[in-house]
Amino acid sequence: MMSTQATAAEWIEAIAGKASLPMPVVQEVLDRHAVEPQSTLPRRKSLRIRSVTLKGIKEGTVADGPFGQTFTFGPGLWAIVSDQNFRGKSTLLGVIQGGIRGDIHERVKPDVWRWLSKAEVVFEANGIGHRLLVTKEAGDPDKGAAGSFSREQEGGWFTLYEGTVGKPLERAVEDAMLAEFGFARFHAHNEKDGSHTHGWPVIASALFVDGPGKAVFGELLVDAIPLRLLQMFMGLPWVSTYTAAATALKRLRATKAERPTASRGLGDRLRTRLDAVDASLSSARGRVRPGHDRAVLRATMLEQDRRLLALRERVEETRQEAVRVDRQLQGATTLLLETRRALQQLRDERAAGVVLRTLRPVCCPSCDAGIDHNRHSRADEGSTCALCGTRQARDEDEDALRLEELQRDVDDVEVNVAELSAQATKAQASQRGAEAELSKAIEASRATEAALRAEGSADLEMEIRGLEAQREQLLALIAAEEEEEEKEEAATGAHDEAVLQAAEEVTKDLYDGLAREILADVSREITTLSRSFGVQNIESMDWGTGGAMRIVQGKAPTSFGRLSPGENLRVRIAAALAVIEVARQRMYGRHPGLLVLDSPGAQEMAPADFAALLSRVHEAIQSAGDIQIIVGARADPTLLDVVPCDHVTHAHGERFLF
Amino acid sequence: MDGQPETTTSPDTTRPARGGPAKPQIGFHHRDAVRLLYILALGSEEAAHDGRIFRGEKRAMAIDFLVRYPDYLADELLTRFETEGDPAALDAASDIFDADEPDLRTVAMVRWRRGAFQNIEMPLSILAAHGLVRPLKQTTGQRRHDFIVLPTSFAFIERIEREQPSLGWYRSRVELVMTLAGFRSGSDLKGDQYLHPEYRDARHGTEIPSIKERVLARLRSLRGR
Repeated sequence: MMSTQATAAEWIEAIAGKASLPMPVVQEVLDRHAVEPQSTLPRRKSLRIRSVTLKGIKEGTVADGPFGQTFTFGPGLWAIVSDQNFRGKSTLLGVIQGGIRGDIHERVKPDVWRWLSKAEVVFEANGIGHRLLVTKEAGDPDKGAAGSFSREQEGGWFTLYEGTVGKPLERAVEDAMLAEFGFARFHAHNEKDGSHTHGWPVIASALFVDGPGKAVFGELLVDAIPLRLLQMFMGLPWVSTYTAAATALKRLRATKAERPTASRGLGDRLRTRLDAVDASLSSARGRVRPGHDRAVLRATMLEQDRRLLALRERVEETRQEAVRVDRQLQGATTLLLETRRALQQLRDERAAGVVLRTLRPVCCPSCDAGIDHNRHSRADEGSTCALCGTRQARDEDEDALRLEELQRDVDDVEVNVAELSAQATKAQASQRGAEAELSKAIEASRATEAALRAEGSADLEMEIRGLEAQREQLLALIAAEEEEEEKEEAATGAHDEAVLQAAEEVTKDLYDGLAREILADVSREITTLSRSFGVQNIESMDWGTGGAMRIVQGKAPTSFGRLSPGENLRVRIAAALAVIEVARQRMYGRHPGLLVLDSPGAQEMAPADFAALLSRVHEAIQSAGDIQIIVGARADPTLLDVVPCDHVTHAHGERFLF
Repeated sequence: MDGQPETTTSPDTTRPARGGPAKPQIGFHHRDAVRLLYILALGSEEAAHDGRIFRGEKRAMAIDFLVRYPDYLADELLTRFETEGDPAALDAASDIFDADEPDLRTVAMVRWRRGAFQNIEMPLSILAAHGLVRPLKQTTGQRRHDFIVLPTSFAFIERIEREQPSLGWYRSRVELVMTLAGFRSGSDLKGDQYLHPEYRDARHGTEIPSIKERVLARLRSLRGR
């Protein structure tokens, strides 16, 4: 089970432990820097284009006049094709992208924009209909059209935004989509741009592939965006938290470095005085001829201090082990419960099926017409079903096998739970043991301290004590002065850096293991898909947690940036599908399962190769029934063979799509 | 959108692809049919002229909810114990937890506009096709759906218990639920269910969550008194 399923409370506790600060202080610093825990594995999401409607009046073309057309789409592979170029494919794909990002006006060529009187994109986010509608006067080239964004509710449209197209509309779409998909805007800080955030446009761009690109995912290469997108689509818990903490830390350090060194006059004078006191103290201590008992006590004290340190570490180790085992136990217990429930359901289903199948249907469940005895007799003779005529095949053995399998699973998990339970008891016992030993050692140490205090005090001892007191006082003054300087430097608390650093480390630990596993899965899937898409001589593709993809091609190491344009495109498509597939296998992840591909230029890939690639894509998505892929391409017989004919919108000959 | 959510008892159900052949529906339809049969048969009453009749589809769903969520049922039983001092209700609630039923027997339902939802068309059509139950045709102006429970149902139930004794659990469970539900209307029963914040506040389209821990704590505190 995942060790990343720490709760928010455990997370704060771990940070407090690491930074050696009380939890309320830690909480306050994290709140101030807006670093929030995000601990749950997300459910799968879905984004589907339902329809695109374009209306308007064409001007200055060979086919002037009004047009109005609605294109509908469903799950699976869909193609928009034309026999000639420049027939409106890219416009349609641009409108789809604009519909999802809320910026149709930016994604349509000026001439087409001029023609339009209405552009409407209806899509489903997690099954809920959304509509982006842009209306204007046909013939008006101005960008100031009316735009609205609505959500389907109770059979009608509930308006989320109404006004003109532009930033507020894009923002309304972004807010709704981030909330719907559970994505957070992610923070980044680089030397060139300082602190900034990336949001829905960057995430959405990864759903559109229109040729080779610099990045495996999306359009941007800065701020490790491809890796962040991958992590976000895979739905790693804690990633947003980690990036928020890391960004806040970078920002804090950058601000500190920029600050001019404050005048440290008073501080310097205090430090000079401290040096003098230190010198007197060491001279006074040199004159001490300690009594036997006192020397022994001091030696004991030192020894006890060392032991205390070791015991504290031991307590921390055992506590962490206990927490780790407990999490594993909780995971295994949940699994056991689910498997036992599945077993019960299958048992009931099988028993009910056995007894129900002994009955003969008396009427058709579809039309209620009665079934006469002759029909049953004829069916019995041919061992077929009297209703649908299917040849009878006993699948009870299959049920029995499945039952056996489930029972075995239950047995296995029970053993696992028992083992983990024993381990948990043991881990708790050793934690308690370590804690008890620590308390004993603390008591012993206090006793030694008390004994030392009780020893008779010579004048020299008094002098030393006096110097020590002065030293303490000076140290306190210096500390107060430093604190004052800190306060002058920044109104923020003194613990920010420590807390943020601890938060960064703790959070990274939380997701690192899982990230490695998932990246290994994704790497394997990309390699397999890239090979099947025709990338030659690929031996391995390995996505590291640092974000770089290591590729071995024909025995030589290479990188994504050095692939040929055709290979680059294939790998980008493979990467998008790999993420969807791994999310599907793992039953969680946030990739919305939508991919829009615009036909690549002929210099990157021959049309026949593209069709062959799509045939592979089609095979690859057969297993996952809920993916939607929309492709724009030149009509090619191979391509038309691949896409189901009712999934194709085809502009024949010289015709236009709209 | 057809106004209804996906059902959750058939995890592998696949929608037929557009234009392609329908894929077989995989799920627990036989189990669902048998459970519905018990509910309709044991919840039926004498009809004026035609054997027995079960009144109200909404009522069937409300009863089904208590069969499918042993933890909510146990909570209702504890309420009965508190209000009426019926010790049998307390014992029945204890038995539910002793048998791990909230873990083993829960069959989740989806929260939809008017409460816990499960499309009963499939199990109903199985029962109808086998001549066990007949949905009563609606007369004008009547919004409630009733079901004629044919005499074959009772003979078939006897056979179920003879040939597949493990399914006898459904009889005892429906009988227990009927001690609470009786002939109260579906709206009345659902009204009680809305008193649970977990049920009322579940987001539409999500599964209604378990309240096992809360009820277990309540049971322990009542036992400890």
